[in-house]
Amino acid sequence: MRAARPWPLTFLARLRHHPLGMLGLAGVTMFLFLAVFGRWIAPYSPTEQSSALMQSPTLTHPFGTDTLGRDIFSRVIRATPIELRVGLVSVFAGVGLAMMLGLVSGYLGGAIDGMIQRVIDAWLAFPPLILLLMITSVLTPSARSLIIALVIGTIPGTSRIVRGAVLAEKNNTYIEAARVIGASQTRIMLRHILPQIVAPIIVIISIMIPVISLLGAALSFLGLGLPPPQPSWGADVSGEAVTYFRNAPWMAIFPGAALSLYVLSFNLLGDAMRDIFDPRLRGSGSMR
Amino acid sequence: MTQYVIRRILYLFPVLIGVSLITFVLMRMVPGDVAQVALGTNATEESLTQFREAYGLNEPLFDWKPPFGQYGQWVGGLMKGDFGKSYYYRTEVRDDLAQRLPVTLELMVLAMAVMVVLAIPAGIIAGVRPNSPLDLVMRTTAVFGLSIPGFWLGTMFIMLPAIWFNWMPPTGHISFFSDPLGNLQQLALPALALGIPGAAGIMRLTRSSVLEVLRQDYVRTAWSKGLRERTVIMRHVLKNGLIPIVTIVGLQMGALMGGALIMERIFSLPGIGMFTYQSILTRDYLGVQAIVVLAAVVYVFVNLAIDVSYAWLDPRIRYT
Repeated sequence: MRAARPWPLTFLARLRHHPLGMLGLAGVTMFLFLAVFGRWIAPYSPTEQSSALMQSPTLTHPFGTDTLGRDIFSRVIRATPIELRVGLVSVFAGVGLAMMLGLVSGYLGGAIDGMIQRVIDAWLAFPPLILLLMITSVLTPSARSLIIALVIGTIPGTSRIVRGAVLAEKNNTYIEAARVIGASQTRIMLRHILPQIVAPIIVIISIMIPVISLLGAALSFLGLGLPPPQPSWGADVSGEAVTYFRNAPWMAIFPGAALSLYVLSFNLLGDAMRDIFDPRLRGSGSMR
Repeated sequence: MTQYVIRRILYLFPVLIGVSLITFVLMRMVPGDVAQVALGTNATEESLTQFREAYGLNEPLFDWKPPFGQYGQWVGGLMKGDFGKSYYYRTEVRDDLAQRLPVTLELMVLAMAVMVVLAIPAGIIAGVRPNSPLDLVMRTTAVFGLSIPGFWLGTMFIMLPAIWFNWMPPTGHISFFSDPLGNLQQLALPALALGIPGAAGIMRLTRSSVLEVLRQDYVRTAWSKGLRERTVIMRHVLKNGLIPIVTIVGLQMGALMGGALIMERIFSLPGIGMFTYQSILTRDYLGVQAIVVLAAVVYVFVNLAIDVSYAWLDPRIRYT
């Protein structure tokens, strides 16, 4: 049975036995800290141009400067809040919507299930990046458009997994018992089935945060994500950074390294969460 | 079995209708006028009208009467193997695809080879000796591999050799059949950059799959009959452990196509990924529609192939 302690505490207590998970937590905490306090840590404004063009890393510009003389260190730090917001909002909204869709489809079954699943079949048949590129090209480039695209990218696969979990749950006798005492469909879905599928949903969230962050960064890299001059780890690796890489390789190196570290932190934390919340998978790593 | 396969192929139609409708509507919501993009901003009103007339852009999107609007005409063309004409390049989309498909296919096949060659042996070694130092090294490497953005890895792969050795992969397309060495020089780095992140995922999956199978009774039986380790692992563990791996390799096709697009952009390869990207940017509807339909067909057949391969890998699985 579940411990009486609130789950975040249980989780932290168990995380102590996961050195790599602790490392991940430290990384995630650092990025959260940078997101909140970055404006006071970054020495320059991320969009402030100067005459120091494409300077190599020095003490005044630890990561060097770009073609417009902007400080790359400041840009890397000041990109944190938007990257976190895009990643977390997309995943939580996407998984939330997918959860409702999977719950309704799996629990009600029949024609509704059939219809929803056919739509999802078509949805999944798109190569994800191409679907998202199409969506962002329809919308005006902004963080909001990027989030909409990423939510649309999160829903189909996730709702399939949720539906599978619901199907496994719905034939249990306690569901029948609830129906016998006259509980409504909605009540059974929300009060009886939903709590049972919390563990797989947490696991999905922990897998999706790094995946969606990488996908969002790829869209920015292709010029259809976060618009300039907004600092962005994806977009800052492209364009001028590639054109002038012989003169100023640091332009492409540092934003990408920051993104790698960010994704790595979430992956390490996510692996530990998977071990803790889904004991069946213990020590097995995840599947993507 | 045959019946099952036929039913699954019939399944293609609802998926294709859904995919093509979504693409069709979505691409036409893109702000900006196709004729304007194709002819440039200096185009006269007259030439714009002429262009729209020539490409049937004035017709309704959907119509109940023949020729059933733009959508109906496009579907009708597809049935005859005609993908339509690019608005931007004025070329036949079919010719564009035929020219560019081999590049992307080769890139994807090489990336798959990188994944399988790196991931499966590593996953087996790690799974057979869990928690050994070798296992820990491989798992750590895999987490790093999963965390590196493909576009950055690709950028580093083109940047670092250029800076250190002043070497860059040749650009433009070199056919494997006319110059195999030049072709591989061109595709080796993008294939590696595309394959490494995928390899990390497959390695982890192989490891967990091997761990799972090692616990089975039939593996204990195999050990106790005194089979050599090699035979137990290759014949008993691997074959049974392959099912989830086959699934994931298949499901990664879509992601691989997206990754190929990114690599084609970084390494300036003339494949269908770049074609799709340019078609999206230039509002070249027909190009995008053709690619998406093609990808959906591949998706349905790959999934079918996966399900059929289950029956071969595990004779207990039967389809009716």
